[in-house]
Amino acid sequence: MKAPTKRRRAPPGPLDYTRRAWMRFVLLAVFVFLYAPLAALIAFSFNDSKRNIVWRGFTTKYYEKAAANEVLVEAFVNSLLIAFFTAAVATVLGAAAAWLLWRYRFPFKWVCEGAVALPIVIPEICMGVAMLVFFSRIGWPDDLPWPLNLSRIGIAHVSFAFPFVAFVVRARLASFNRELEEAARDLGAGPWAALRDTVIPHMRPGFMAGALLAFILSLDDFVITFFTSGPDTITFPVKVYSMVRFSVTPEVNAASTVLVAVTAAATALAVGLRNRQFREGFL
Amino acid sequence: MTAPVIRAAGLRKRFGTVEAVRDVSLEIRAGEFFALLGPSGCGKTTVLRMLAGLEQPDAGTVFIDGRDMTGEPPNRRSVNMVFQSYALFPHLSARDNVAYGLRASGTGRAEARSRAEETLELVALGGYGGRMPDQLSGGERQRVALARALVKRPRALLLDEPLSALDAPLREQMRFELVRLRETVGIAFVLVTHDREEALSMADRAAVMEGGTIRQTAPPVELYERPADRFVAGFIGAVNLIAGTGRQVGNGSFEIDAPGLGVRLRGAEAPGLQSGCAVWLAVRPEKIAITRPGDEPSGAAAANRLAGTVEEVSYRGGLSIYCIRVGPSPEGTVRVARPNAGSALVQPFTVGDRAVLTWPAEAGTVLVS
Repeated sequence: MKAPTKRRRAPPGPLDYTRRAWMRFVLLAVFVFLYAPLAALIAFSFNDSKRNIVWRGFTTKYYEKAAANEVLVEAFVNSLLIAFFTAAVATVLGAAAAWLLWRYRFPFKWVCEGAVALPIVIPEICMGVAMLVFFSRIGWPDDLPWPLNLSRIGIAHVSFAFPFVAFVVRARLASFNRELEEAARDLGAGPWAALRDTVIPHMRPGFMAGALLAFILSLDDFVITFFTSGPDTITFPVKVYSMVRFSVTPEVNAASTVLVAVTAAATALAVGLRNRQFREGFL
Repeated sequence: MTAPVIRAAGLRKRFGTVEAVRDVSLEIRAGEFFALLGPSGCGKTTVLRMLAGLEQPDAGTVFIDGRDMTGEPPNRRSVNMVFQSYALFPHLSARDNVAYGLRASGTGRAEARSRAEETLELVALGGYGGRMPDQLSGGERQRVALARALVKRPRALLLDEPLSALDAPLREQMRFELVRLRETVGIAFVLVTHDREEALSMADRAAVMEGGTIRQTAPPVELYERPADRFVAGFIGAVNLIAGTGRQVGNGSFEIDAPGLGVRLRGAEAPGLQSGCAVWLAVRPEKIAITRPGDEPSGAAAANRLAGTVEEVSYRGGLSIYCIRVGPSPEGTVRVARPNAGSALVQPFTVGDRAVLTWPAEAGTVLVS
């Protein structure tokens, strides 16, 4: 009798990175490096200790404390408001810029392309100073009522966020089949209807990604906000910074954890929306 | 003859430094299957796009149904197009794709829906209306694209290389279906293709284009049997071109002195030929009879006779191609196609055999350019 042949496991392929011990280790190290600080931040927000150096037991009281901190809550609301405004305006502007640069040829187009990309590469500190000088030079009013007193920050955020949207949307447009637009025209649609029915549906995932990017960029921006915020306007990152200057209390951790949760939720929402295919027809 | 559905006169189009189309005029009759045939880059797609209004001519006019449509945008023209990529709207179902043209021109929801369903049935896709384009096969997408272009009952359907994205068996089948569909709907089809078999098998008339101009417009048989020039002769099918000097001999035929071969050949008379001018005799390989010396036919079937040596035998399944050297010059070979009627396992001629080639006078066309 022949002995049953033993099945030998195939040697791991180049991309089977979970099947080699040392690769598994590298993978683990990467995850630790990326997420250990965040995990520590979240864990210590539940630490029952003022100094926040050693673990003293579980509590949620710092969340209550943070929620009761009126300045902190106001900063948080301001930040969200600015982020939503930035996402909306930057997406419209960015998509329009991307479409123009993709669709048309015009003199000095390369200058326009460079100018749109500039805010991405300019150091934030230069942007911040430039914004500060700009707003004081044109005499933008300082004493507007809430929420108009956030307008300077909002405008500054839109101006540095929309190039990112333009980049994302333009990358998406590169895969557009021009025959789709021509087909719509051929079938009787006017130029605007053809744009609405073919180009814009194709750009939609770019809108989502771009809006999310603008939202996150605005939400956690510190430098530019620092230069453009007025005496009575404060945003969340600026407030956290001022709190940390005294000491890293669990309250800061709690507030930061909320911010992480908001960001994660926004990302999950955007991914979910993208996965749900746009199916509704027009009949 | 009825008035043409589409008439284009003196169309010109330049892209940068490239003159894509120069002086193209054509007429498409009501209900005919017209093909624009030519190699890639000959300007045939540009002509089609100018008929559709997707490209504006630099000069010339386009009449659709007798009305000057030059300068009108595509949405005002009563012709519809099937694109090479099909260009189905990926976010709309098959039914919505087909209904798009009706909705865009203001037809009501319910009517658009029922006409879309009807048109899908016309292309044998009844019940597929709810599918999204990415759930359809290549052939099904093609049918949706056809239905979408037909639903508005255009005066003519413009097809830009519609079969090039399909694999060979499906392409063959779609040729028949397109011809049948044209007979059902009764409107003119204008097909752009680089595939001569497609044009020959489907079209009522075809225009052969090269270098931005039309070389010849004729029914397929005429293009094949009586090509207007050497380009058309070679593009439409394999051909032997024998250069020589022409001489009118009366009674409907023409004589050619072929200096390279040292013989006199006869061809059918063609208009505009004069004695003494440089001409080419074009003979299709399958019109030449190949025999062993002494077995050759006589009389009219052997009006032309060349003797030579078999230089190459190429087996092609249904037929075999023989290359016969009849003269010393590099051009001194003639290609002969012979159907493999009996068993092809034993070829009647092998390399080095002596052979005699004969063909009647009317089998060849005399070309002056």
